[in-house]
Amino acid sequence: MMGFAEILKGFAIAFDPVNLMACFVGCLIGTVVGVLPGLGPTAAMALMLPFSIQYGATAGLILLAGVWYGAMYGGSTTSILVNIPGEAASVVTCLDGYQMARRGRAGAALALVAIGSWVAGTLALIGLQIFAPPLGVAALRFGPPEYLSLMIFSFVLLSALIGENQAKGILMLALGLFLGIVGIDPILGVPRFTLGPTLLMQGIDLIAVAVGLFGVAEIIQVIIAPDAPKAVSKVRLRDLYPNTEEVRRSVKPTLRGSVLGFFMGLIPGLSPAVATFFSYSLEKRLSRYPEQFGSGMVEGVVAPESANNGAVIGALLPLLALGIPFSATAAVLLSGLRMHKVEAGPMLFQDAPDIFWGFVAAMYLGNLMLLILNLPLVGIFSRIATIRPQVLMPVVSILCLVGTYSIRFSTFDIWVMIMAGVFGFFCRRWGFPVAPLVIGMVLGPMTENNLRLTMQLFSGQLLPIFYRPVAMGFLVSAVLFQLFVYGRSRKTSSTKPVDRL
Amino acid sequence: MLINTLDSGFHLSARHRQAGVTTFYEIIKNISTVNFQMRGRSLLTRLWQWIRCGAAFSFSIAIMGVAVAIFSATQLGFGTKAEVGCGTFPFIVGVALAITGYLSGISSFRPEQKKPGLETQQPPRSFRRVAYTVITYFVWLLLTPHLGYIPATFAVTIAMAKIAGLEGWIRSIALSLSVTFFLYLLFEVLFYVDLPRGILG
Repeated sequence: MMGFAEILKGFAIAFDPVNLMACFVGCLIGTVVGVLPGLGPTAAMALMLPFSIQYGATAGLILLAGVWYGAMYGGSTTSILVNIPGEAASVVTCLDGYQMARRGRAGAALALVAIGSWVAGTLALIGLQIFAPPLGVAALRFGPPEYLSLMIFSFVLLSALIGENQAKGILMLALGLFLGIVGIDPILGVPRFTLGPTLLMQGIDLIAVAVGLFGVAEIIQVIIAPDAPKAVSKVRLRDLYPNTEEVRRSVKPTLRGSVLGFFMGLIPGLSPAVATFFSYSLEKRLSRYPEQFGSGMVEGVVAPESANNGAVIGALLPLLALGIPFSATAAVLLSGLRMHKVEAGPMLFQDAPDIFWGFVAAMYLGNLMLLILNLPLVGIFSRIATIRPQVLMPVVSILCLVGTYSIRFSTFDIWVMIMAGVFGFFCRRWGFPVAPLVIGMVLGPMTENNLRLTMQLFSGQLLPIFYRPVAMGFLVSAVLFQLFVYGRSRKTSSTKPVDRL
Repeated sequence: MLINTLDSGFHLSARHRQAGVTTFYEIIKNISTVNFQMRGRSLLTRLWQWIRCGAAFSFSIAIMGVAVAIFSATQLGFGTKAEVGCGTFPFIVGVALAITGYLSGISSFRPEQKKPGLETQQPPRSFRRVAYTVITYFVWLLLTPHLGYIPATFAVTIAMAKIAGLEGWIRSIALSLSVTFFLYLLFEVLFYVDLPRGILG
């Protein structure tokens, strides 16, 4: 099997006590973050960056991925027991999960979701293990024209798939591209948009922006409209067993959700939340009793939860193999890798194979840890969700402040974080998606660099880009996809995606 | 990107056509009259409506985009075709910002679209809370270099708990003590992160 020797070596790395500890801490924090409505995985990962540095590159990456992955597990617990989605990817789980809890099947739902998430995570990891190294090898042949066309393709996908209004999506993406290039030009050394001699010379820190947009904005939202804590359905350990019928009905949706989630994770701009909606929709279409969805169907709980776990690992494939983040959370992870002086992309498999394989092996372990952690401690995690916002918000605020400050010890970053928070709050109110901004901040310098190198390579001509098959393929795909989106939006302009479910 | 923006433009026209509007000129002409029934209202009220539906934000970004494009073209320079200058990419981004800012500003007036900002009326007290929260962030920022992060965190957490509406001073102080102690353990004892200690240094 491909990579068998490497993965064994990876397990040897993953069983290092520091890596095991990082994995456990990441999974635990991720689960708590998934449970809490005030803090999403993106902000939580950004806040964990200073601690990840203390752990070292491999353990740091494992810690951050554990947070991301654990959040997907944790979100389902409160969706089922309290009808509060801890993060966006668990919204769909509320529909049938909470209904199962009301019918006294909360334990069964939690057990099936935990097992389904574990299966999805394991299958997706096998996919990552199989596809990432060959993709990395193929990407070694990519030159600047290929990367440039891949980014153009990503921009088209991102703008079309994020949010309901394409113009707003592109606006936020362009704003991110602009913020990404603020600072000293890396080639000519010219300061650009620095507003003075020293203020923005080092550029705008991505982490401060991410914490602001995803952490502070959420705090403001909760402060404005705090929800009263809801009653929790009590679940004991001995209740955590599904009956034979429920197990039988959950097998195929779990497998379908896993595969669908993994492949949807590969698409730029699609968050795990979108994968859960698609997965739920698919199960509803395939079911003999679609009218019963929303009343506590097992299929409607396990399929979306499997899909979101699959999607998280799917999103790691382009990040690790190509070095291109397709989601805001992946952008934060990439930023974390750079802080550890590890460059994601094709060279990762040659320069730092231990990091990649140790990471993959640790993800297998983390997946298992989460299964073990979530089932017995389900009662404690569900109680965390009932913490009042009056207590939670000051704690999260202080974590955002201290966490952002401790990354570069810069008070300017705190200013950026606060302004990004207020900005993010208003963006949400006006319907502007904030994820493209974060992705744009990462892709901006990369796109500019590849544009310059491409023009240099072709002596100022753009036509030769069409003679390169891979680059040509990406550009043609971008045009075809845009035409498809345009045609489809003309047909279904009157209905929203959620309504079509 | 150009195709995207063009698409948005056509898309917009089609939608407005459904609403009985035929050209872009008519959309602009009808913005202030059809969609928000602003006829007869003062300029200030209109401006407030533009801010609330996000149009003002979009148009501000469009203006910023124009400024970025002009600055890039005039101050940074395009270089040559083979040696692309440091103003080329910002120029492209500036143009994209200008076009998409304009299009999204126009789309904010779509008659069929409900804006979250217009649907929910928040009590002014809530917005005051937000303002106080942001102010406490700045207070933390100002206090930390002088007092150190421990006293600053302790004071600011109490303030935040009261702003968030936590009843009783004892609870707020207890929460603040717990948070400060937790941060101390995390940053000083566990991870040796060198935060400013101020008067406790």
